[in-house]
Amino acid sequence: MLASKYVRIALGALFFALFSAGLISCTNKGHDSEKTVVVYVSEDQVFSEPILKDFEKQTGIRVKAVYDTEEAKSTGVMNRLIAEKNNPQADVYWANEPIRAQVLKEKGIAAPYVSKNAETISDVFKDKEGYWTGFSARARVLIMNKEVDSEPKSIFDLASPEWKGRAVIANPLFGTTTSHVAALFTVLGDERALAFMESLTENKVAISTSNGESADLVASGRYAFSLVDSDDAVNRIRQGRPVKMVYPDQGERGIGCFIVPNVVVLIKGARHPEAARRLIDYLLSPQVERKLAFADCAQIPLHKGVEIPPELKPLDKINVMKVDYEKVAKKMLEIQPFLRKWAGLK
Amino acid sequence: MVEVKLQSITKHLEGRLVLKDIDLEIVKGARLVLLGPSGCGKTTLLRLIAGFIAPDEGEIFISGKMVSRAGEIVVPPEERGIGFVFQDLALWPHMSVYKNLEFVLKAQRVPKTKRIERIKKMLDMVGLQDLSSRMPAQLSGGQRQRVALARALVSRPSLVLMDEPLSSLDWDLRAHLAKRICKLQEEIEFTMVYVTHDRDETKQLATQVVVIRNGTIKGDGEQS
Amino acid sequence: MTKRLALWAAALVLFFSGVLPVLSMLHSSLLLEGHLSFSNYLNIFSSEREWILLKNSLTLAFLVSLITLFLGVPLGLLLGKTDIPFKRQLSLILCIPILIPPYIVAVSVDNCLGQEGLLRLFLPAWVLSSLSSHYLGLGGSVFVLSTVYLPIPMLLTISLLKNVNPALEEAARLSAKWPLVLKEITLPIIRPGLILSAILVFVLCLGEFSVPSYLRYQVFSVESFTQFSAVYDFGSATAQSVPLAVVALLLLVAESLYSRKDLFLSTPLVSGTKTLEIALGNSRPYLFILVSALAFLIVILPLLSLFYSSLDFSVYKEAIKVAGDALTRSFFYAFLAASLLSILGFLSAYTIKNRAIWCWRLVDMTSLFLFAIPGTVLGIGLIATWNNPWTQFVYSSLLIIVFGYVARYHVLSSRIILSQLYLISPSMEEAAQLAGAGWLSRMLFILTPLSKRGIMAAWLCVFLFCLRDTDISLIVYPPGCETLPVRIFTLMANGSPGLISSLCMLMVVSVLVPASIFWHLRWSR
Ligand SMILES: Nc1ncnc2c1ncn2[C@@H]1O[C@H](COP(=O)(O)OP(=O)(O)O)[C@@H](O)[C@H]1O
Ligand SMILES: [Mg+2]
Repeated sequence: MLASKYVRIALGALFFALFSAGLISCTNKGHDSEKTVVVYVSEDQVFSEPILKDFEKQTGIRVKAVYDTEEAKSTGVMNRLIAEKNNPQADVYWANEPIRAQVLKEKGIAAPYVSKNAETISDVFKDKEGYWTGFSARARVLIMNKEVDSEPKSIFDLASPEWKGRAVIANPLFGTTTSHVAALFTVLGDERALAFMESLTENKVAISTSNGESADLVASGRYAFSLVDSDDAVNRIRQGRPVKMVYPDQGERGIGCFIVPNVVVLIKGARHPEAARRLIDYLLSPQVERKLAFADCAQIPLHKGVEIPPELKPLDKINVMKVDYEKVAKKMLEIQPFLRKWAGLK
Repeated sequence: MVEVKLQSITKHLEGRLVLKDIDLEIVKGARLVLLGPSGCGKTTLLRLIAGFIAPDEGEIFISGKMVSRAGEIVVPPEERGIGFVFQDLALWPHMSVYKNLEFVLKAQRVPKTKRIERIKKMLDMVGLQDLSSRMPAQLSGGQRQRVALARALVSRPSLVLMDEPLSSLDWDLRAHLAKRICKLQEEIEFTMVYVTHDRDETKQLATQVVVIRNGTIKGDGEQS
Repeated sequence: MTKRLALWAAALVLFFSGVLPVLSMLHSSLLLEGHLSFSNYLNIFSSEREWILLKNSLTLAFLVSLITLFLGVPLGLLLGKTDIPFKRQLSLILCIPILIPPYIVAVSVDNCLGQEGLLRLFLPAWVLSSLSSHYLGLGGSVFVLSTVYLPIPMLLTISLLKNVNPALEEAARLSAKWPLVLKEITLPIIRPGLILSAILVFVLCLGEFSVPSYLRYQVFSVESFTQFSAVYDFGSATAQSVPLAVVALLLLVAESLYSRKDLFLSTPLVSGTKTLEIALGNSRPYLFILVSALAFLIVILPLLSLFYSSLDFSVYKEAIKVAGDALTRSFFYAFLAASLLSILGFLSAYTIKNRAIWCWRLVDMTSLFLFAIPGTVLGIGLIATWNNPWTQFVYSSLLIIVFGYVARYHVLSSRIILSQLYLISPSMEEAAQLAGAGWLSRMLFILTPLSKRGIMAAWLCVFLFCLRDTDISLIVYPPGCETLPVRIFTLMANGSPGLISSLCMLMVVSVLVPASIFWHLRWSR
């Protein structure tokens, strides 16, 4: 009984300590000064957080972040931004692909801002009116098991009889795979794209839940090759798994490799516009691109002449698929019903 | 002949001495009334005899057989052949009157046809024949009382323990039921240990009275 | 006057924290380009896929509630009613999985079965690979969720057993052996509680998204998520979440009607009397080994493998560095929400028991509904409701997260306290009233002390559920103020396995410490 009295006192003290600690850590000091910037992030926290920390260190501006994860198909950040439209809380949105940014632009949530650091980034990766700007990109690549003799060279190999039942792709309802399919629709035209998707079904292409899983399935030899993001492939290569990365459709007449840049967006009605612009400038700087290239996400810099690790090809050595991301975004919403049917449990 | 014999029984509950060095013999066919103020240990004594708890010291014999000894229940309750009427009756709330009685017989593997017959007879004896499908919650206090009595007697135990069975009833019902218990005891001929703190009941029922105070027996005597 | 004020205040908090947000979402689901339209609802089952997903969801929930019930009740009996050794320790161990976010359990089991996992030391490779291939899909989801929710029926059984009037069992023991007594008397008496626990598990499984998605089993809750994540269409996403909520709500309503009918069963017990303990006799050591083996298999082994893959202590330093503040915040939010909910839950329970305000039934039903609706819908509803310039102080502060927890877990506190209030005779309050005590002092000095156990249990239960909450926190946490489960969740994408494991261990330990302290307090009583 005596013991439990002490336990109770200890508990009380603990709670009091927690209470005060919590209060201190969560009071929003100086909410409206430019000493703080609120950023919503869709890029994986493991990669984005260190960059934001560096920004804090360099500028003394406190970064308050809300993270999200694509891997888990989390719905957090984008839906927040949309729900908060009438009273925005975020200043900056760091998206891991341009399509989401385009959606924000269309919903009237983004504000235009042309950063001086973006001048040397190709116009393909920027919104014409400056609503979003791309940086460090992933490529959509083929990952193949080294044991396999012949090498797939094109995404159309997914539909070729040679590879029947030996390929896997992530569920096109989610993530970059959705964008990729939408991009194909804009490049090939509806008719050919539909035919291509149907032929995937006929060719018994397996469907996994994520690109990461696809990469693992190829690494373990369960499937011969897959279409994944370059970071998934580089990751497996660095782990020493028996896989190879192939940039697809590179020949002169090939449709090219689909590039998915990170994208940064200024939010309309941001509370800290000045700090927000500084953060955007920072993210668009070559030093950030270099960091992201050497990090495990292995992203391809969009600035020319940024140092990169050996596994990566510089952008100008890649035949890039020529797409208009604005159109891709529109197409993506348009083909949703089709995709849902297509991905339906067959 | 001695039905129940307690030999220097001592019992502590949560570190408190509740019963101290109790010696008691109950003759077969007797109506023994345990009389004492509340909190003196009467219920505890019954629970010891029934075998729900073991004594700390001493031994308990039923029909000459040792059933409990210090810290050990030798014969479990279900093999002691005891009927018990609880202070709060403890009717099973999810079973009808009939089912309450039937459970006892079923547990003792009485065949179905015999069960029906015995339950009917028992309900007749306590005057509940019309209420056999009622749930306990749908009965009056006196009726519940009689169900508890019937349930304790239906297996024809040779020993029946009653823990203030009438304490929650009003005065005239109490006198009426006490009479009925007397009559039943004479008809069925079981040994009865009856706990109460009420002197009127004692007068009405007892053939033998034992007074307990502060966990010890203060005196006993015969009564006609 | 104070009485009405207090009860209405409690009802209003529930309204503003939960009902209004969900209503605003439902409202938007009924609008299409500004006009009233049911098309979102008519489209729910537009293809065969949705039916298959619904079937999958129901299968998963059914199997898990069945398994947890049939395993949890015997375990509850063994640990709550017999003389099995180390029952406290065993119960605590078996409770660990429910204290941590379910996907962490999934990760740890995965760790165990994985190529570098702990089981590699004991099992041949082919057994391991066949096990891990079965782990993906329905099998693994059932296993993980059963592990996670087993404590619900188990704990409920233990606590209900203590509330059975001992004389009822004693009366039966006079003629029957224990197995028959348990089957015919004890279990039927606590049956309403057991059914509630099964339904609770069922509802929790229906709403579960993280585990099936981690284990690649397609369930219906994914539909609402696709709508949220791919098309950003709140209306249709809300509509897609309604079928599961309706199933869950129907079950909960059926249960609450049923349990009300059965109320006469709960005979208040005479205080101080203890229920009989079952002596296991010869089978005691065997049963002990059996239960320990189970605890080892489903709890210790996965935890060990988490620990094993985070053996490097520098990783722990790192974990505390990246998540120390998140951990503190988690405790703080959970503490606030639990304390608030103990008060609200008490007031609501009082409202429901005494039918004290006209909308008492509404209070009960809405809190059930808020528990059944997916967290995403509630979270986004909270944003839609509270994010405007006038209520900025709520949305940009921790209040919003507390609101989310209050709405979500209100039903737990009100139901737990309600069951305690039912055991208190109304005459207690009436006597105090006759003595001239006002309502407030009756509550403070009569009912609160009498229902102390229930209030404490509710506090702890809510505290733990808030501590492990991911779905609401993820959506509404103020920028820079995330909780530990959220941090683990977002770090899990491409984070280093060692760091993730050590964060999970941190989570486990931080939940276990308060849980075991309370455990100790409860048992020493
Ligand atoms: N389970 C128990 N734990 C602790 N003390 C008990 C318990 N049961 C009874 N007692 C105490 O033992 C004493 C005798 O109780 P009891 O036999 O019920 O008395 P009676 O039936 O004569 O009123 C009382 O003082 C009571 O408080
Ligand atoms: Mg008594």
